[in-house]
Amino acid sequence: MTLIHQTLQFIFGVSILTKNIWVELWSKPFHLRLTLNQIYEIGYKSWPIIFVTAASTGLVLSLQFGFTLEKYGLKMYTPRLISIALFREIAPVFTAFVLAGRVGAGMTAEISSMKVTQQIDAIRALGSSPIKLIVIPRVLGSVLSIPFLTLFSCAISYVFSALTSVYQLDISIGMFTSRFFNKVLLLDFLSGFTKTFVFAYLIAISACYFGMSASQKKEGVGEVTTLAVVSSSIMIVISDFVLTWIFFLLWLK
Amino acid sequence: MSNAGRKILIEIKDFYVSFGDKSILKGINFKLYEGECLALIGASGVGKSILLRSMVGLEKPSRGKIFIEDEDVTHFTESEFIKVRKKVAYAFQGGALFQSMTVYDNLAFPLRAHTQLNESSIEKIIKKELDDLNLAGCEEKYPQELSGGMQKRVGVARSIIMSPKIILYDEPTTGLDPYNTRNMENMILRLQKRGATSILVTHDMLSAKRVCDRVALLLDGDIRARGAPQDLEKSHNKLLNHFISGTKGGY
Repeated sequence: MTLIHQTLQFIFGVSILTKNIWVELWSKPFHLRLTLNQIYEIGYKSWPIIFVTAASTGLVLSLQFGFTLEKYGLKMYTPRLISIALFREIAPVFTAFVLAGRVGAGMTAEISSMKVTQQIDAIRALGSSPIKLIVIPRVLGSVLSIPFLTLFSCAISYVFSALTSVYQLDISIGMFTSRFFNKVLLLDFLSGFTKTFVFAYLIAISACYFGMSASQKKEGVGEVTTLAVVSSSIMIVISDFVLTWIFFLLWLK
Repeated sequence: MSNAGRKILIEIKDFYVSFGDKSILKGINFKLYEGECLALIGASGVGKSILLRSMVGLEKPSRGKIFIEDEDVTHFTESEFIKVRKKVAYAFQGGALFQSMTVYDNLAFPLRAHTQLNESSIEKIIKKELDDLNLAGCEEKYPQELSGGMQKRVGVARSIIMSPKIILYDEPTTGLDPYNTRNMENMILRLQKRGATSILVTHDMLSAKRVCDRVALLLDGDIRARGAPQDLEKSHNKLLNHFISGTKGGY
């Protein structure tokens, strides 16, 4: 099967799945408990990895911008540059990439294992809908958790970049904080925050699509898990470009 | 048992299933009458399970028609099949139990999804099903803590817990010890007495003889012999004799 054929099949499959989610989302029964479980699994259980990623991002950004700008006597612009980079791009995209690996891979492996052991067929045979029981709770869990994990990531990055600036760049905490937040426009924040909903959806839909399309062969689980992570990462990159372009056209220019 | 005047519950007409270039079923025709038990026998890989799965919409046919109680369900959508699946149960070959749920929750799943029963009524029904299948005391165990045979029996219990009108058993006795094989056969007979109509995919001729009214031999994508189990044993059909005796012959 050619790459083009696979890509078209993926786009078609994801579109059908999206349509089915939209149709079944509004009909009873609503599985609130399953959605809350997913929020716990995706949101709460991901905080340690987001903490580590965000802390190191804050440290690195501070050092890179600080020492580079210092050469040109522009050290005081460091907080402003870090805040723009963090809110608009780095926090949403890094968080999405990390979660595409942790959450996306986990979801795909779980769903595809259910597929190969005929548990998905059993749900259907028992007169229930796998879209309602498997897909919708994961998509909702993802869309409701990932934006908040991104906010958490921003907060941790701020703390660690501020600490680095104080101890390595001799910028006081008060100065860093006022310059970090002073010129952050609502639009900077919103442009990044809006992206997180899209990224969250792409991670979950890709994981559910590949999980549900796993073959009965055992090697199918590993194969679809890899495909899900690769596809969601590519979609994050492409959608980031498209959304950034749209935001610049509309507001940020 | 004569079928004259009995209602047809399932009718398969000119039924074909192919995967790519490979044709599995090639023009199957049969009728299943109310209260009847039909055994589908045949070598592994001839498409017996695919035929059963098609009846509950888990596989799509390439051509042909499936009628359930005179209603053409061949091109039903997934949501339309939900009402069919409430009256036609499919007992999976390996049980297909939900691994993240206990035996109790597996059995409670269809009752919670489709009935308004309270938890104490659900508990009573589950206890009775588990007792009937010699599984008492397994309620709090997870499927991975059970043997393959026990998982299969829990799977059967889950599929019949809603008292469906038609039950499709996919190799219900394969892998069971003689005691539990007999137990499973007795349960199938009990359900038939209560009015259930069933199709049994099996390799076990002895079980087919004990439980079923009719046997159909599937070979090369079509039904090649059919009749009452005791008549088929005396049959001169070479393919059937080879299958029953376990000799190669046409197989």
